[in-house]
Amino acid sequence: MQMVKKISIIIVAILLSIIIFSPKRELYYLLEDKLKENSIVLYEESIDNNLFTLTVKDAKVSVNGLKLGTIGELDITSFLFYSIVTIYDVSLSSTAQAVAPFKTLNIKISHNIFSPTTLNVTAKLGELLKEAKVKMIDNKIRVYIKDIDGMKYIAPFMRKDKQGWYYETNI
Amino acid sequence: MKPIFNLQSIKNIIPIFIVMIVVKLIYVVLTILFLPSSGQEITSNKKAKALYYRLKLSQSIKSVAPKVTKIEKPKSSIDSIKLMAIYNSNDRLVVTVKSKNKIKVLAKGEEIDGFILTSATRDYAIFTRNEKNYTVQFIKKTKSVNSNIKSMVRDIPKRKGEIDDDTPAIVDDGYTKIVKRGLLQHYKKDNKSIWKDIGINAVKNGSVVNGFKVRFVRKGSDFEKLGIQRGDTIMAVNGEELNNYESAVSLYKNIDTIENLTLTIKRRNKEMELEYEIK
Repeated sequence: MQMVKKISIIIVAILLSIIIFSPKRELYYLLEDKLKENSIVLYEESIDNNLFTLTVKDAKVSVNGLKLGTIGELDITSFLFYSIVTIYDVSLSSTAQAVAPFKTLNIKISHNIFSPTTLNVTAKLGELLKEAKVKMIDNKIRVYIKDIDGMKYIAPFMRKDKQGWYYETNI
Repeated sequence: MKPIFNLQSIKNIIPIFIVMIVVKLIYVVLTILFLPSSGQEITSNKKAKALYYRLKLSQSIKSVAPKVTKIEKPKSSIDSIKLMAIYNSNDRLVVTVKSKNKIKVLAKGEEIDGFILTSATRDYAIFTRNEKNYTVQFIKKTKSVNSNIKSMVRDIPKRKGEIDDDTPAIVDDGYTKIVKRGLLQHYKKDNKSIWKDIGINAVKNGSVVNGFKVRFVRKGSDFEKLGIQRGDTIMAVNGEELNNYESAVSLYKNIDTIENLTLTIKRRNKEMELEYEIK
């Protein structure tokens, strides 16, 4: 019994060490590199490395050279089996507002290791609250949106199947 | 005597510390070997070039010699001078004026009828005489001038936001095409209709944009009337290279405020310019 207790303590210590000592800042830079490969650049941000969470503040976002806006706060928390990315106070630039008819955006993305190909997304677009699932199927990313009421501007890009409206793109 | 440290507890904690140190060491090695040490930065675009006019002064410019002329006593009033064209770049200012039915090309510092050309903006030229400034604006087209303009296109149906008159939205005066501002305002308001009439893709060399290629132009559309053809690559607008998406969007955002538009395009490997006047 004493041995079991010892092993349990060591396993917990390993897990906590993996989470706490993970090079969060460098992993975030790696994420930036990967996003840049897809022409998405996050820049001019300030980074706080906390015990369990990495907080990125005032990151500017540029897609294909277009400055789309600023992310007020981006929190990345990982407990290995369950991870959450929360994006607060995204203010869109006038360029982005020409396409997306809302000024502020909050997004919560969660992922659990038991469903590795799915991300659950809750987005607040201005006054609209939307839930979506992002699924990876055969080298394609499919974004299912529960309902697209009040989002007529995305309808031309959407398709429909049994699970509802979705947007699909190749990766 | 009660011991300060319980040796058994310390023995239990040591393996936890060892585990933590090992994990940290592994992370340090992985970070040094595989992870980037700095984030991405974006380089700001070079400043956009100032708008400028391209006018056909080929014959006249040759005759412009930078000679200093003696200021003579003015022979006539400023009203007798009509402004026809302005070429204004960073290092050169040339205007074409009409006086007493004679067309004359003036460089900066030259005089006509006692008025010396000192500077110019997009819309008018400034002359001085006896330390007084005089502005001369472009000649406004009279009815008879307009009647000579050959309509290139059939009348288009009126759209929301378009100026409510009977003239076509795009006319060709033989040198530049004159485009109604209402047409631009219509396309700015209803941007979906752009993509029904024209398809454009960025030409990319790696991550660098080298202009925008026209995939299709709908027959009879305004874009066809503007002289844009399938396969054209739009390289620059008003001298500003379209080497990123931002410059294209910036142009789109300001399209209804500009007065002249010069598209530099590549057609069948030849570079050429399409010129428009927005009225």
